[in-house]
Parts: sequence; structure tokens; C-alpha cells
Amino acid sequence: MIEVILMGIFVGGVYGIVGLGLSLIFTGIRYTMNVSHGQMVVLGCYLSFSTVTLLRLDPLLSALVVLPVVFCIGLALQYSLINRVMLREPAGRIPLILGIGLIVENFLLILYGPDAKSLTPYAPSYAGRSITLFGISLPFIYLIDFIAAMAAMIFVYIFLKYTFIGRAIRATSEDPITVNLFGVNDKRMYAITFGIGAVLAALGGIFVGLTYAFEPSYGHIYLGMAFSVIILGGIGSIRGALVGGVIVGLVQALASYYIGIAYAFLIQNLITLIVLYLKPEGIFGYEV
Amino acid sequence: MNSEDVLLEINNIDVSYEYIDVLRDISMKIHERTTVALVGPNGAGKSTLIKTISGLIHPKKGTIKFKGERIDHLPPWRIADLGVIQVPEGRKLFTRMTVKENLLMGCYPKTKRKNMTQKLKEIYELFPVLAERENQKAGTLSGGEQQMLAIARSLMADPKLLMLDEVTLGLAPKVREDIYKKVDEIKQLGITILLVDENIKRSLEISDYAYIMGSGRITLEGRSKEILKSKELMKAYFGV
Amino acid sequence: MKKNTVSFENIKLSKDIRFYLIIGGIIVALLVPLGLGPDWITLFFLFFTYTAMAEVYNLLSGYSGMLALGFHGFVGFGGYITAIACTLWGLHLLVSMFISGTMCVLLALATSFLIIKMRGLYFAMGTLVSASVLFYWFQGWSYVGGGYGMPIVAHVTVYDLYYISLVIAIASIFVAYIIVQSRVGLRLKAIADDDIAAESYGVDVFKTKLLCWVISSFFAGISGSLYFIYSGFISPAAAFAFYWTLSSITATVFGGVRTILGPIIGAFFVVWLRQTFLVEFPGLAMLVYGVIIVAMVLVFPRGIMGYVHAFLTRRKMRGP
Repeated sequence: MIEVILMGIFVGGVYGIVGLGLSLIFTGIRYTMNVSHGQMVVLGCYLSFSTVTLLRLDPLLSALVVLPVVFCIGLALQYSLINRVMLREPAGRIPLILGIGLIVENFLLILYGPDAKSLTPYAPSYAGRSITLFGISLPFIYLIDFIAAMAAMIFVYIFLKYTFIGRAIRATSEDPITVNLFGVNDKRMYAITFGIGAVLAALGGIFVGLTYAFEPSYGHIYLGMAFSVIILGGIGSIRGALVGGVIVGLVQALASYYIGIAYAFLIQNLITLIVLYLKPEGIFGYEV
Repeated sequence: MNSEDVLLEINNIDVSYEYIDVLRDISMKIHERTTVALVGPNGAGKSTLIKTISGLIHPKKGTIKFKGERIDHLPPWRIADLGVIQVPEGRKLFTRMTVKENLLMGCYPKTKRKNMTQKLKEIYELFPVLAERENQKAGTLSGGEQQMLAIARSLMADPKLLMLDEVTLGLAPKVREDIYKKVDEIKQLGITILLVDENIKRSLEISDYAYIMGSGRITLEGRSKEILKSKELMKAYFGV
Repeated sequence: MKKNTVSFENIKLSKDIRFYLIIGGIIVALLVPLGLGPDWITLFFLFFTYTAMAEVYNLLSGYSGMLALGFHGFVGFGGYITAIACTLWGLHLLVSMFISGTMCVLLALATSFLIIKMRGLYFAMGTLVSASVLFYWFQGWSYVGGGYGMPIVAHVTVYDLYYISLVIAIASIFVAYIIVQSRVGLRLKAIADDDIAAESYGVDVFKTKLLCWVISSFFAGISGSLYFIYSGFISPAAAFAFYWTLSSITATVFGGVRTILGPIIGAFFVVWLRQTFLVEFPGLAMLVYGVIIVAMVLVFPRGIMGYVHAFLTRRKMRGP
């Protein structure tokens, strides 16, 4: 049982990262709900897979290739497509993003086929192995997941707080018109923000690929996870994303263990719905 | 005053905002190192003019030139880059960010980051209150302090033309006087200022030249001293 | 906006001709099965079913601006209720369908909290999560076969389905038309443009939205029933596939949001896509969906009917 709890918490870190990406896009781009976020995660899985198989890189190292590529893709998507619907209300932007998600997902389906793949076999040194911590035996990868997630969150925190672009992103999320008066091109900020959000999703994808398996159609599952994370933990908060992620991870792990996966997702979605109705800002809503 | 040192030149612009014609046939010249006041009743279009100069709105007709180059169809961030900086009406601070972070946003463009630490020092000397509250969230400051921060933020941007839009609105009289004093100090630094303020008398006292607006047009322009001296003008336009 | 709103009026036909065209169309539709083989009948059946879904989705998300990402919840729920009623309880098909419709209405009423407190974005995501809840519920319900699904046994032929779906399609178009033309329709448009403003003018936003929600749930459920009876098998993955919402969105976006004819054209296109691609190359079909949605949203936001309108209105203005 302890193993289950720990695994849930650790993998929750990865969900937190994915959720953070979604949250960043939502707060940074005038309440844009990136319904293609799940597909970005899966994109990360597959890009990593290709990098690993073609360039013989270790999956963790594949991030060096995957993340810049995904950043550029996200940048391009926001700049060329989503920026055109920024004048619409948030719900009105969703169909476009839906279409983008569809295109990404089905591109992957056509390119790679529908069979499940996994990055685990390509990292025999750490994935698929167990370690023992204080007498508890866990797959090593979960620990790596958590450490990586924490590192990523710290990185994002430092980026947002101490760099000029990070400050610009925060300023744009608060007042996208006034930032223009100080030399910030809000459209470009949106593109950068979306790029970063997509990168976080793809990063999550790499770890998902190492921990579990993936198929092109899994996008909607990760969107659901990410959405649960930010609703439960709080939108616009790094701490919130972490907490939300851990909650989702825990609920998933415990529920799957005791009553099966379908019910685990059922509970996750039900709780999300209830919290969405009662307190949509979540636990830590709205700070960074 | 000759045409070489005309910093901002507006020629016969018409501006519409949300389907209403707000400004008609506006022309203006602002010379370097002068302070120009834009005066008029509420709704006359003063803020709209400032927004248009900043590039948030584009004129339907006419041109705006800054240092001889046309800026009327540039995006606002380009115009800010060139040195046309506004202190927006309502301050528009980034309330969730700290005082220091707001100031740093002022010098966001890479060209302006050069002597960032030096500039910050100078700003803190000019506005000691802000130095004290460096790491406080901007939203927690008092009204007067927020106004100082808004002005300071714009100063961080190395303005060639500083446009102050109603910087004393809603403040207590003593605080307003502090602000006017600060504007004077900024004047001494040789920065060109375009001032919009509700207090007509004070605006005319601080400025060198004034444009009086009404219903979207410029109804009178002239040296501020002369307008102040002329009792008939003051009575006719302002009932003072 | 004014150009989008009503389709039939702007097409320059007198009321009489329109009436006879519709009657004529219905008669033709009734007689068609006598002449064509089962493949064609199936095609028409699908067309009518998708039309009903699209028409009603348009009412909900097009006219009222309530982006219902969880539309597929009703489709699947209706499908399952019919499966249970028809196969497990042995009730007659039409009775089962009616129960499906009713259950969906009840579901819509039960989830009306989505409408009260949540607007726009929250409504969209809330419906999506709700549909997921339904999906996982049925996934874990062994009575209906859980994740494996269950077969549906209904003693019907494709011809029966043809007529039933035709009636449903006509009903959905009729209902949509009535609503849009009525005062309710005006309220809908007001709400879609700005529901806070509408509220301040005294429009009972909640009741109007609820009406659309309930109507669309009914027809979505019945459409789901029809489809899965045709399919002969139902599983959570098929029943609650996002595909149902996706095809309705594509149909309305393609044909023209806020028009009556639009969803019909869109449904036609969607069925064509389905028959041409979906079976052989599902990835390609869905890719095309994605491209269509992106293209329509960016380039032709008013859909085909929108452009037909604009064209006809320009012709009208140019004069005789």
C-alpha cells in the first residue's frame, strides 16, 4: 500500500508538470484553454521515441532534441493560428485548438500506427528496474519522474520570476494591453508562452513514455489529467500545479489499486466536476 | 524654437474609436525639452489622442511623426521602443508584481536594458518611497505611491517623449502637489512632456505651451503663460 | 450577424414555392426506399441521423453560444438506454427510443447546474468532464458488459431505420426552425452575443439556455439510439466517443453556424467523409476533420451557408 501511495505521489509530479503547462497557457494567453494539450504530451512521447530510435539517444537526453522542436511547433501554432482568434471569447477559441489537436493526433496516428509504444525498453539502466528506499521497493523510474518534475518546476519558477521574458509573460497575463506601452509585443509573448506550455506538456510526455506506454489516441486522457490538476490544485500557481498533480496521482494510484482503473478515472472526473462547480480556482488559485 | 527640434508632429488626424468619430482634424507640434499641456473637459478626446500617439489606436486620416519619422501605423510596442512612453490613465500597474519588477518592466526592450542598475539607482533617488517598498506587490501601495510607481516605471523606459495622462486623478490634494513637484523635477531633467490633467490652472502653470480641446477638436492653442494672463480667455473657456 | 441568422427567408423564394418544395422533398424522401438498395438506404439513414445531431448541436452551440464539448455524453447515454431497454428488457424499439430520449432529458435537467453557474469556458469544460464521467461509469458497469460492450438486438430492418431517422431529422429541423423564428430565438441570439447584458434586459437566461440544453439532449439521445441500433453493438468507447461532438462541430462549422440549412449540408459532408475515409483510413479521415475545422474557423467562419447568404444578399442589393 505504501508503494502505491508513493508511486502515486511521484508520478503526480509529472501530471503536475503537464498541468502547469496548461495553466501557463490559460493564464498567460488571456484564458485560452489549450484543448490540444493532451496531444502535445503524446507528441512529446512520439518525438522522443523517434529521437531515441533514430539517433540512439537515451530517452532523457532526447529531451535536448524534443523540447526545442516542440517549442518551435508551439510558437508557430500560436503565432500563425491561435493569435488570429484572440479577439474571440475564450470558448470561441476552442474549436480552432480542437482542430489543431486533431491534426497533431492523426498525424501521429498515420506516421506511427495505432499500436502502443513505450520508451521503457530504451532505458534499461533506470526504467523497468526497481530500487529499495527505506525498505520499500519501487520502480526506479517513479523516483526519477518526481525528481525531474520538481526540477522542471523550480526551473519554471526561476524563469518566471527572474528573467525578463518571464516577467514579461507575467505582465502580459495581467494586462496584455499596457505591456505594449513598454515595448512588449503581446502577440509574441503569447507565442512564447504557448511554446513553453507545449514544452512542459512534451516533457511530461517523455516521462509518461518512460513510465507507461502511449498511443496516439491517448491525448484526451492527458488533457483530462491536466485539467483535473489545475482545477484541483489551482490555476495560475506553480505550487497549485504540484499539489494538484500529486492529488491526481494519488487518487489514480489508490483508486486503481483498490477498485480498478475505470473507477479511478470516474472518481477523478467526478471530483473535478464537483470542484469545478464549487470552487473553480482550486486550492491555490491565482498566484504564481 | 525652430522646426529642427520638433519632436512630435501631428498633422490633421481623424480618429475613430468603437465606431464613433472621436477626434477630428487634430494638429499639434511638440518641441524638444518643452512641456505641453493638453487641456479640456471630460470626453473631449484627450486620452484618445494619447492612445493614438502611443499606437493603441490608429488614425483614419493624417500622420503622426516622431523625430521626423512616421509612427502612425506602427504597433504600440515599436512606438514605445522609439521612446514615446505613456503613463497611462488609471496607472495600469502590474499589481501582482513587485515595485521593482514593475520598474524593470519599464526597461524591457533590450536597447533600454544597458544601464539598468544605474537607472534603477537614479529612479530610487528620485522616488525614495519606492526604494523603501521595493519588494512589495504593487497592488498594496497607496494611491499616491502607485502613481509615483507608474511615473517611475515610464521613466525607466528612457522616454524621449513622456506623456502623463491624468496622473493626479483621484488623489488627495497634498499627494497631488507631490506629483506636480515630481513632474517639475522631471522637467528639469530635460525630458519632453505632454501633460493631460484635470487641474487646468496647474497644467498651465507647469507647461510652456498648451492645446485646448473640445468635442474632439483643438479649439485653442498658445503659450501657457499668455493663456493664464488673459482673464477673458480663462473665463470664456474655463469659467475661472 | 444579421446576415447569418435566418436562412430560408433570404433565399429568394416566395413562401408558396418554399412550402411546396418542402412537401415535395418529404414525399420524395418517403418514396425513395422503394427504388434504392440497402446500401443507399443506409447512407440516407446515416445522413438523417447526423442531420438531427448537427441541427440540434447548432441550436445549442451555434445559436446560443454554449459550446457543448460534452455533447457526446447524451449520444452515448441515449444509445446505452436503448441498448438496455431493447436488448436486456426486450421492449419494443420505439418504446426504447422514447425512453432514451426521456432519460436524456432527465440527464439534461440533472446537469442543469452546468448552466446555472458556469458560463462559456467553464460550461464547455464542465460538459466535457461530465461526458467523461458517463464514459467511465459505463466502462465499469458489468450489467452492460463494461469495457467490452454489449450487442444490441432489435428486430428492425434498415428500411425501418430509414423512416424513423427521417422523421427524427424532420422533427429536429422543424423544432430548430420554430425556436429560432420565435421570440425564444431572439433571446437566444441576445444571450449568445452577451449573456450578462441579456440578463440585465430581463431575458431569463437560465430558462432559455435550459430549453436548448434539454431539446438537444433529447435529439442527441435519440440519434445515439438510432445509430447504435444500426450498429448492432455498443461499447463505452464507441458510445462516448468524442467523435460525436466532433462531427457535430464539423458539420455546423462547415455548413454554417446559426443557419437552419447549414447543419444539413454539414451532415451531408460529414457522412460523405465517413463513408469515403473512416472505414479504410481513420487517421486520414480525422486529419481531414482537423484541417476542415481549422480552415473553416480561420477562413470561412460563417460556413457554406454564410457565404451563400452573403452572395444572395449582394445580388439582392444590386437590384433587378
